[in-house]
Amino acid sequence: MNRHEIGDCSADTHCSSIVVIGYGNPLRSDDGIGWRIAGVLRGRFDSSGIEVIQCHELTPEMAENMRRAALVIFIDAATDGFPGEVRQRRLSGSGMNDSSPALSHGLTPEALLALAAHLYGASPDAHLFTVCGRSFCHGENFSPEVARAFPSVVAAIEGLLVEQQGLAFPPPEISRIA
Amino acid sequence: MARTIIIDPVTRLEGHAKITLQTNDRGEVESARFHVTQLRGFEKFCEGRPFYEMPTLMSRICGICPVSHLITSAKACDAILAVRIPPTAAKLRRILNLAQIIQSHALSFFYLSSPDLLLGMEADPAERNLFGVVRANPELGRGGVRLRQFGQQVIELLGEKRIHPGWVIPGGVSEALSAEKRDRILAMIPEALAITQNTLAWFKIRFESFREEVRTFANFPSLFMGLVTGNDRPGYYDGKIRFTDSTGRIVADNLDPANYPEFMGEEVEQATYVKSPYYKPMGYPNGMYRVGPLARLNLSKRCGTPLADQEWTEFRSLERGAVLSSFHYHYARLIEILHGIERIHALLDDPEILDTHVRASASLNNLEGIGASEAPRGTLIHHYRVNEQGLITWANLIIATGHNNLAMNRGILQVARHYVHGDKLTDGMLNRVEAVIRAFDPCLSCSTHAAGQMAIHVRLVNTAGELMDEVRRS
Repeated sequence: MNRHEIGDCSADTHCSSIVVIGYGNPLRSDDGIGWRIAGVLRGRFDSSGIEVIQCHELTPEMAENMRRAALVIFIDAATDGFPGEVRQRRLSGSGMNDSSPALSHGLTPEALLALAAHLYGASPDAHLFTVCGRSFCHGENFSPEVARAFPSVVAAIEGLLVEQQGLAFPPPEISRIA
Repeated sequence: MARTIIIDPVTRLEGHAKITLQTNDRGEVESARFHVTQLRGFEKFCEGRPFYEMPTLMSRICGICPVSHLITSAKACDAILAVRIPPTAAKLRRILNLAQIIQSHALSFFYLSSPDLLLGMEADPAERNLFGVVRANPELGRGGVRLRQFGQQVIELLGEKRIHPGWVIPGGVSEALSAEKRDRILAMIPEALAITQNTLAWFKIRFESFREEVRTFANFPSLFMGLVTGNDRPGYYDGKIRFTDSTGRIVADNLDPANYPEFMGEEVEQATYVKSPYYKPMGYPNGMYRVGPLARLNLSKRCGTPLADQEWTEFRSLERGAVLSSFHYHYARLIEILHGIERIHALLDDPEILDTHVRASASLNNLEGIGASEAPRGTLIHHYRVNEQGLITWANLIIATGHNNLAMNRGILQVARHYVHGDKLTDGMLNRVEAVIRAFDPCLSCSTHAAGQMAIHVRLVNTAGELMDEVRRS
């Protein structure tokens, strides 16, 4: 996991109020969309106090990253829908029910939020952005549909941050995200 | 009527495996087999690659213990270069290796096994997971998350990435440690120590409730094997190989890991992709031995740090000779976490740790190299041969889980004979068969996907192939 922290937090204290987690396998074509978007956002959020995490999957330790977060944004690839389709969904982590995963490496965003709530009493506003992929084969390039969707996801996430947190960002450098 | 019981897949393990139990006409378990059903194949597809790529390539074997493969591979490459790495580089590698052991042990204890230990072997399977632990004992859950995070953060601070760091290279490490990073690690140590001590105190009371499991979980005489330093401490980063028996007597000592083919055989069996190493002088399968935390504490005469030494003394007083029950792998894991934290602290307090000379340079000097270190689950050996251009022509990896293969099979048989009877299968019965494997903490797939999320499907069939009973766990 690559983490980028800005602010007064020490290595052992994750106190960012906004956490962005892009996850997936960047060596599996469209599955890497979350990872790659997080990479772009990292550059654009520089010195804005936002914690950006790039990882292959969600793990229980990330609950700690959320313990003081007001807003958590997840970015992932999806298999349902049409290729390149972008969806945004508000998440709830209230309650760990019988569908809680047996364990342990690959949690769902909801399960991770529930874990953060149970362990730390955290209840951040949470949103999941997904982009439906076409190809999940070995490779580091996106399908044309997902490549086209890429800038719109970045813009949508920035829009959410502007709307909810009053943050401002410079215009995107399209060459960095195409 | 004789029956075959298949547990496929085995849950809460790192990787994919199944268990087959064969019962006789009286419903007694006659044989048990542990099958690893996936092929790794790294030894073959690395052929033709430059040797200096091997550490990065080999670390991709595993998402749980990539650091162990990274370090051991780099040591094999050091041997090909014929370099002595700078002392500070060796110390930094030691810290990285200990951090790896801490995070892996924390995962094994808190995420994979604590559901059984806290909630009980007979608990509702829907509750027997990390979420069940968090509901029943949030403090234990928080401690587990935090302790694993500690190990991962140390790895990240040193190697830039928590998984698959590339910082360890042939000849040393790629970058010196900064004072700022050192101080950040040091700041985390008091909390990590406190969590570990609290968990040890909890576990030492808790395991009294598992007397039957202690008695039956792979509890038998065997050899133990691992790296030991010259002052009789576990040699996590380096050392010589020692074998002891169940009484604690040293059977063989000061064996150079580079000479492993002289004393270690590897049996290939048709039913599994894992090889079965054995101690050659005793032959196969009598040369069965165990490796990993239990073995390391049995082989040594102390850990070498104050708090862990106290715990080691108490641990070894459990039995007169070696501690034989594999249930106590859990206990040993906690003591090793404690030792790892103390040792990291001591290494960081050494002013030399900030020395900037951390890499030795050389070109190809040997056509063969062998590296060994202690991975979380036991001794890991990488053995490479290269041609004059430095391209890999042959590789052999002996992973810790393989060393334990014979003992795990025997452990399954012991548990199954004790708990599995008759025509009906119960979840608690099957969970114990799985739990004995979990005690060894095998890393089968060397990958991080889907472990624990798979359904378990157990079928009890007679010799005519008729289904007698069936259990599904979703």
